[in-house]
Amino acid sequence: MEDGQIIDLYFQRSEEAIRETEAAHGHKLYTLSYRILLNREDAEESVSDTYLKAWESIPPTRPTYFYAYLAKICRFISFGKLDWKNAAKRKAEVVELTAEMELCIPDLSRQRQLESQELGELLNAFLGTLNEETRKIFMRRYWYADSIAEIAQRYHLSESKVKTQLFRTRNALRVFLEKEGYTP
Amino acid sequence: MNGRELVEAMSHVDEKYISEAEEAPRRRRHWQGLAITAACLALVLVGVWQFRPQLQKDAAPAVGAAQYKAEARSMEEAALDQANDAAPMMVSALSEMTVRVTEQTGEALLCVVTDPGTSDFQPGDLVTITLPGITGTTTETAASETQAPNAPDEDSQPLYLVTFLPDQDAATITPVQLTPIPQE
Repeated sequence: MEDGQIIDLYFQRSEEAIRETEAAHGHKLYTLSYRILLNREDAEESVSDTYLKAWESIPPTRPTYFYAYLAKICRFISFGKLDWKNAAKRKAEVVELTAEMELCIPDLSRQRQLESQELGELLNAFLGTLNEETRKIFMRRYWYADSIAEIAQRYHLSESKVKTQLFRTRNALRVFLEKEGYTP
Repeated sequence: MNGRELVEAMSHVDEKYISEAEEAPRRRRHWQGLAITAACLALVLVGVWQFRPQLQKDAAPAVGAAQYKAEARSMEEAALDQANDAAPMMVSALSEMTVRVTEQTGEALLCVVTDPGTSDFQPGDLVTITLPGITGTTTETAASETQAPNAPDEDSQPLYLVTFLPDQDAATITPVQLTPIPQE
C-alpha cells in the first residue's frame, strides 16, 4: 500500500493503519533502532512506541515524507532508551559516531550551550550547503548509523573514498559551526 | 555540547534529507557507459577527419597514377569506340565512281564518268576533279599517271576510282581518294 493510502487510514482512525505501517516500514524502523541500541527487545519496543506516537500525531499532522517522519520518531525514542555506558561497553556504532562528531565541535572550552532543537536547525542549514552525494553519505553515517563498509557498498564507492568524504564533511561542519557562533 | 549531543541533535534534521538518504541509490545506467563509448568514437572520427587531407596527400602519388592510367585507358577506349562508330558512317557517307581522265589542266582533271557507282552521276557525265584534296601515294600515282590523258587513244586514257564526299558541286569534285584502275 502506498504511503498516502496508509496516512488516509490514520485519518480515518482505522487500526489497519498500524498493520500497513508495519508491513511497509516495520523492518527498516527496526533496523534503524537496533543499530542504535544493539538490543533486539529494546529495538522492538522502540518501533512499537513509534507506531503509537504516529497514531497520536496523525492527524492532525499529515507527513510529506511518511517513512522519514516515522524514522525520526523512532530515532528519538531509540536514543531516549540508549544506555550510553552499556553502548560503550558493547562498542556500538553510535559510540564511534559520537567520537567522530566530537571533531566537528570547534572549541569545547569556549562553547556555548545550545538546545538540541537549535543545533538541529544549524545542522539543517549545513546540510543544505552540501551536494547531494556528500549529504547522503553524511546522513547515512550520522543519521542512519551505517558503517563505512555499508555506505561504500550502497553507493558503489571504495571505503577510502567514503572515509575521505566524511572527513572533509566533518571539517566543513566544524568551519560552519565556527561561523555560526560557536567561537566567541 | 559534546559529540553525543551532536549525534542526538541529528534527529532534528529535516525529513526531506532523511527521505533523500533513504532512497535506493541510483544505479549506474548502461547508457552512461554507451554514451562515453560513443563520445570516444566520435572523438576518434573527428581526429581522423582532421588528418584526412594529410592522408590523402600521402596516398596521392599511388592513387593518382592509378587513377590517371585508368582515366587515360578509359578515354582511349572511348576514342576508339567513337572512331569505330564513326568510320562506317564516313565510309557509307562517301560516294564512289569510276572515271576516265580525258585531259589534265594544271591541278584539275577533266573526266568522263564511266561507272557512276554509288554517286548520283550518270555514265558519260563530265566532271572536273581537283587534285589538291588527294593524299598519299595514290595522289602521286594519280598525278604521274595524269600525264596519260594527253594521249589521243581513249583506251589508253587512265581509269580512276574516285572516292568523294557527295555534297559537292556536281561539276567539280575534290576527291578523298583517287585510285588508278589498272587496265588490261
